[in-house]
This record gives sequence, structure tokens and C-alpha cells, in this order.
Amino acid sequence: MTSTVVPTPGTPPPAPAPPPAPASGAGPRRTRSGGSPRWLVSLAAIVTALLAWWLVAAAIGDAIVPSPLAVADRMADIVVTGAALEHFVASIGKILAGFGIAVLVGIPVGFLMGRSAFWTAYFSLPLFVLGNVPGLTYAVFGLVVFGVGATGPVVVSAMVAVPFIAINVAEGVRSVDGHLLDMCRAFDRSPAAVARHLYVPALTTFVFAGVRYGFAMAWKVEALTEVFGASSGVGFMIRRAYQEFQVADMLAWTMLFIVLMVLIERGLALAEKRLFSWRKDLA
Amino acid sequence: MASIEIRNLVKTFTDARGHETRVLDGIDLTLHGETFTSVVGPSGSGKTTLLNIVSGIETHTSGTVTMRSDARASDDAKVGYVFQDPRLLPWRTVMQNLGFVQDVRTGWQERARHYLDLVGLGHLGDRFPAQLSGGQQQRVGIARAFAVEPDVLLMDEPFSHLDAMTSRTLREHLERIWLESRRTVMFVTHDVTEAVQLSDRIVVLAPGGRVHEIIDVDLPRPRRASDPAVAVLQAEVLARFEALEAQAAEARALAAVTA
Amino acid sequence: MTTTPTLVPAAATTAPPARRRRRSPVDPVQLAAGAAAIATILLGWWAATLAGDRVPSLGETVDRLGSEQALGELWGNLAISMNRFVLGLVVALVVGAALGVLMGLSRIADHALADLTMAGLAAPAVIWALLTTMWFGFGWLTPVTTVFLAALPFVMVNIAGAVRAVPADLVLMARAFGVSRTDVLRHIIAPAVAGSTVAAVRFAIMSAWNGLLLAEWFGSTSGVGWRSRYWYDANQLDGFLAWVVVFVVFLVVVDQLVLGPVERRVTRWRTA
Repeated sequence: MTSTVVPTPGTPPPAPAPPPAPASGAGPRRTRSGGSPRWLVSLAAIVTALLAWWLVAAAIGDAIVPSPLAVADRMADIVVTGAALEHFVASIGKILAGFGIAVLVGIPVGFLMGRSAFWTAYFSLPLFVLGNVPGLTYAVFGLVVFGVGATGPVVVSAMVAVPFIAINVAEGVRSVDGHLLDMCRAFDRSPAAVARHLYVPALTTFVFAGVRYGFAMAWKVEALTEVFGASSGVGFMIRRAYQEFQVADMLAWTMLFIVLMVLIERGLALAEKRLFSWRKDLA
Repeated sequence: MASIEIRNLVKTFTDARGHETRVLDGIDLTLHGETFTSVVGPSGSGKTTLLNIVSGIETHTSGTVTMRSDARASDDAKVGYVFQDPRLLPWRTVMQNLGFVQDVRTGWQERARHYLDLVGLGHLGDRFPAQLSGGQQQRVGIARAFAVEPDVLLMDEPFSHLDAMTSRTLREHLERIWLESRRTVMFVTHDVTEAVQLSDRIVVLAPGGRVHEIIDVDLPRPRRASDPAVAVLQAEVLARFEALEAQAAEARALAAVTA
Repeated sequence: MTTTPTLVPAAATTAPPARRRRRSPVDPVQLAAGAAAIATILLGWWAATLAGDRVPSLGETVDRLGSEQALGELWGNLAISMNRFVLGLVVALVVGAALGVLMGLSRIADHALADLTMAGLAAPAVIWALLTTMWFGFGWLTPVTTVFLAALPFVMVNIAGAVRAVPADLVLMARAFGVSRTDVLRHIIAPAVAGSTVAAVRFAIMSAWNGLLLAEWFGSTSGVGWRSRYWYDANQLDGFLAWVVVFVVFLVVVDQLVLGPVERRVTRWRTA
């Protein structure tokens, strides 16, 4: 039934047709990203930006556009004198307090939302407003209602963070697999066991995600609230520098703020990967 | 119809460290019009690369690939391609997906609907891919390739990602459509029994990218998987294939030891 | 690379009432819930007026809004702010899209711009407002530049993400079938990028609006932000609150009534 045939080149091959058009760009890329490593390009870009800044500052020559060296000098000063520590701790302390409140409020709200379409619809508008009210409104609100001090920023942080927590918790509750619940019922697990082994891990994942995503947003609004009405913290220092026309100081505090925020965000991302690696595999 | 002539096809791949691997090592092959040819081989034999070169997705290092179509004057033979995964545009309906790959702007609908009917999905033309099962999506992929009425049909392990039952059904659909239109088909698969069931000829590639042997399959069509004659041939071919795989494993082990 | 997730709550999943399934586009459950929510907010506001001694009531706020409109301050300032907003936003969209596409296509560009973009995302908009006020004074350049700087990083990040997400396997499929480049652009790349582009615009608008208000608060003599400050400085909180209502209504209108439906339409196929 079978015959092995080795194809012989019978008739002479025809005039070679042009090879099939190479799929320019669309074909699978066989070249590895043989370009320079990431950190090198990043560094080069940052150095270029700093250089450009330095040139512009030198050209203008007025302290209103300070040179990067002046800003770096101020940054070092702020850190060394401990002012950085004092005010960043103050700011972050307020945020943590705010997040604490947000978690206390957000978890029950999120739980209700996750279990019921009615509550989802009910909370959807208020959460949207809370999440998208312009920072200015929050800042003035904090000042007007709570006066100068720490309470305003704490409450504002809480208000900004609540939507992130609530929505994520709702997601988490909805994500608890119905099949797993059935399994628990089939094996006659107690409600406490179900809570502990099913809901708590799901919730912690999503609460953490809420914290991660909400952190940057909350801190920016909190800092703004400090600009308006606080007696300590990063925002307060920026405001003071502004009032004294110390642009170098303003930029110094801003740079430190940015660096710290990026570090914290990276840290949170790393923590999320570590703590919830089991989840990442499923996701 | 159309024929594909492959002459002394070589493909070398150079990795980042400059090591050269010969994926295809001088393939000489002619696929005649109106035949269903399967290309099988153990992993590392370059069968998908061969298919990609024929379709134009990849470039080759040396040698020639000529597609000659009787119907067309130009060199550009019309190619239909079925991938392992359906590759449907998720934001277009089934019918729109079939229309996307057509050359002509009008008049393709009837043709497309005909092929959709042939795969049993004529009533789902307005659905989005997300609303279809995996098997249904793959069927749409098959209908799409046939609906352009290509000179040459290239298929890359189209059923490897589906479950056994769905694959069996789809093989029947495929044979039925093919019998209607008898296009030149090049069908890559790792499943030797599937190759026996579907093809007129089986090209066996050896690791390193050479043609090991070509087997003619002379069974009458349409073929049923339950037909004893088919089963006998499958067993024979499988035995030869296993021998080849054993050889390849030995060669690999030897290479690992002497490296 | 920080990604900006969608905060806006997903469209509520509505459970159809058990007995009668009405085919109306407005779900009664959602309507009832929405009404209840608004009622709660108003109740909360009323409670706040009793508890606090400076909190103006809803009635006072609405009155003030009416008088602003009578004075011509309402639409006048809104128009001025809109001009600045749109100008800064458009420039941010154009520049941001160009840079975002560059970042999405080229790894080198991505590495080079990633840190600066991240810094831009982390920087609080107030710093742009303060700096531009110092540098450009009270002219139109201050708010427009602030809007631009506030929106730009969001546009870049989202567009770059969209470009990177263009499904390569679909492009390959199209090439295998010999589909023309324009068709690939029109039927694969554009739809793939569209959903993320709308998201990019949404985030950009939020950030831009925030920046505009701050810039006008600190460094303008006209516009929505300036007018709200006017009342705040005069210690007339009903005036201030009236303008807060304007801010919020603007956002709700733009997001829920314009952008939301556009985004849902463009991503219809995902949950078909």
C-alpha cells in the first residue's frame, strides 16, 4: 500500500521566481534586542535632560529658574538636616492613617457591592465622585472643615482611597469562585472556615491592589491638601518655599517627593508579586 | 489549480551568540495541484518553518520556492492559511472576518456563506468570536481560508489545540470541503495518524530539516477513522515514524555526550 | 512602570427582576439605586450643614449659582476655562500620542523616556501650577502649560501601552493572506488601539481638569478656578461651593455622558 518515493528532480527547474516577499516588519523578529541595556539608555536620557536643564538655567541666569546644581544642593541639605525625614514621615503618617480609615470603610462597602447588583448601582455614583473630584476641592474642603492641621489631610486621603479599596474589594468578592463555595458546602465546611480560607485570601489580594493603585493618587491629593492647610509635611514645605520665592527649595522637595513615591510604588509592586505570587500564576 | 515547487531550500538561523543552526537543510519537494500533502516530523524537523517560508511569513536563506497557478498570470498565487489558533479579529463578526481577507470588495458574501455552511456555522455569521467556542472559532478559521478560494492552502497543525472529539469532527469537515474544491493543500501536523487519514501524500522530515521519506497514501475517499484499512496503514506509518523518532533521540543523546 | 488603572466603577451588573423582564434601556434597579444614592448624598449634605457652622446649605448654593449666572459670571468664566483646557489638552494629546507611539514601537525610546514619564505621573499637579505662575505670571500661558504638563504623561503611558498591545499574531495572519497594509492598519491596529486611546483620553482629561483649576486658582484673573477662589477669599463659602458643583457636574457630564458611552461602544466586542 505504501511506496517510498524519493523525489527526483525531473524537469529542469524553471526560471527562479523571486523569493516570497519578506514580511517586512510583520515577520517574527529573530534579532534579540541587541541594543544597549536598559539602564544605560535610561541613564543617558536622564543625563541629557539634566544637561538641557542646566543650559536653560544658565541662559536665564535668574534664581527663578534654578540650576540643577542648586536644587541638588538644597536636596542634600534637606536630607542631611533631617528636615526630609521629619516632613516625609509626617506626610506618610497622614496617608497611612487615611488608608487605615479607607480600609475600614471600604471593605464593608465593597463587600456589599460584590454581593449585590443593587448596592453596586447605589455606590457607583458616590464612589465615582469621590474618586474624581478635583484635588483643589478636596484641599479647600479639608481646610474649611478641619482648619489647619493634620485632620484635613488624613480625612482627604481616606476619601480619595475609599473608591479604590471598595471597588477592588467588590471585585475580590465577585471573584470568589462559586465552584469553590460549592466544594466547601459539599465537604461541610463551617462558615468560619469558608471565611478564612476563601474570602480572606481573595480580599487581601484585592485590598492590596487597591492600596497599590490608590497610593499615588492619595498621596498627591494629600500633599495638595497640605499645601493649603497643614503645619507639617511635604506640601506644607512646598507652600512655604513658594511664599518665600525659593524655587530651588520647591523643586528640591518635589524631587524628593517624586523619588520617594516611585520607590514606594516599586516596593508595593514587588511586595504584591512576592506575597501573591500564587495569584499571579492564576491570573 | 496550483503547484508548489521547492528546490534546495535552506534556512539557517543565527542566534545572538553567532551559533548557526540549520533548520532546513536542502529541501527538494513538489506539491502537485489537487493533492493533499501532509508534512510530519519529530520536533526540530523544521516543518512549521517550511510552511512559513512557503507562505511568505518567513524568509529563507537559499533555494527557491515557486508557486505556479494555472488560473493566474502573475506569480502571486493566492494563499489561504489556517493557524494553530484561530486568529480571528475579535472586534469583527464572523462574516466580517471572512470578508477581511478577501481581495474583492463585493460579491464575496455568497461564497463566504457557502463555506460557513460547509463547516456547519452558517447561522452564526453575525456573532463575535468571543461568543463562539474554541472549536467553532477554528472552524471559522478554516472557512475563512477556503472562502478566498486560494490556489494553495497552508495549514499549521490546525487541530492540535482542540480536544479529541472536536478534532475528529473538524477533520471530517475539512475532508468534505476539500473534496468539493480539491485545492493544493500543505498540512503540517505532528499527528501521524491524522496525516494518514487526511492526505494523499505524507512527507516525513527528519531532524535537521531533511526529507526523510515520502509516503503515498492510496486509500479511497472519503475516509472514515473507523475504517480498518485506514487503521492498518496508520499502524504501519506510525511504526516507521517511531523508528525515526528513536533514531533522532539516539542522535541527540550522542550529541549531548560528545558535546 | 506605573500603569493607570481604570478607577471608574464598571457598569453595574444588573440582575433582571425575577418576574417581568422589561426590554427598556434604563434598568429600573439601577435607576432606583441611583436615586437612592443621590438622596443619601443630599441627606449627608444637610447633616453637614447642621453639624458644621460654615457649611452652606444646598439652597444657598443653588441661589448663588443662579446669581452668578445672572451676573454673566457663570458662562463667561466657563468659556474662558474651556478655551484654555481644550488648547492644553489638544497639544498634550498630539505630543503625547506621538511620543507614546514612539515608546511603543521602539525599545530604546521606551527606555529613554520611561523614567521621565514616571516622574511626570508622580509629580503633583500643584507644582506645575505654582511654577508656571512664578514663571509666566497671570497670563493664559500659565493654565495652558499646566494643563499640558498634567495630561502629557498619562497620554504617553496609555498610548505606549496600546501600541505594544497590538496583537502581532493577527498582523501575521493578515500578511499570510496578503492583506494590504492599509487594511491592516484600519482593521487590526486601529481597533486594537482604540479602546486604550479612549482610556488615555479619559485619564488625561481628569488630570488636565485638575491642573487647570489649580493653575487658575493660583495664577489667573479669570476662569472657573479664579472665580471659585474669589468667593473663597471673600469667605463666602456658598459661592465657593457653587463652583465646586460646576467642577463636578462638568466631570460627570464629560465622563459619564460622553466618554463612557464612547469607550463602551469601542470595546463592545470584548464582552459581546
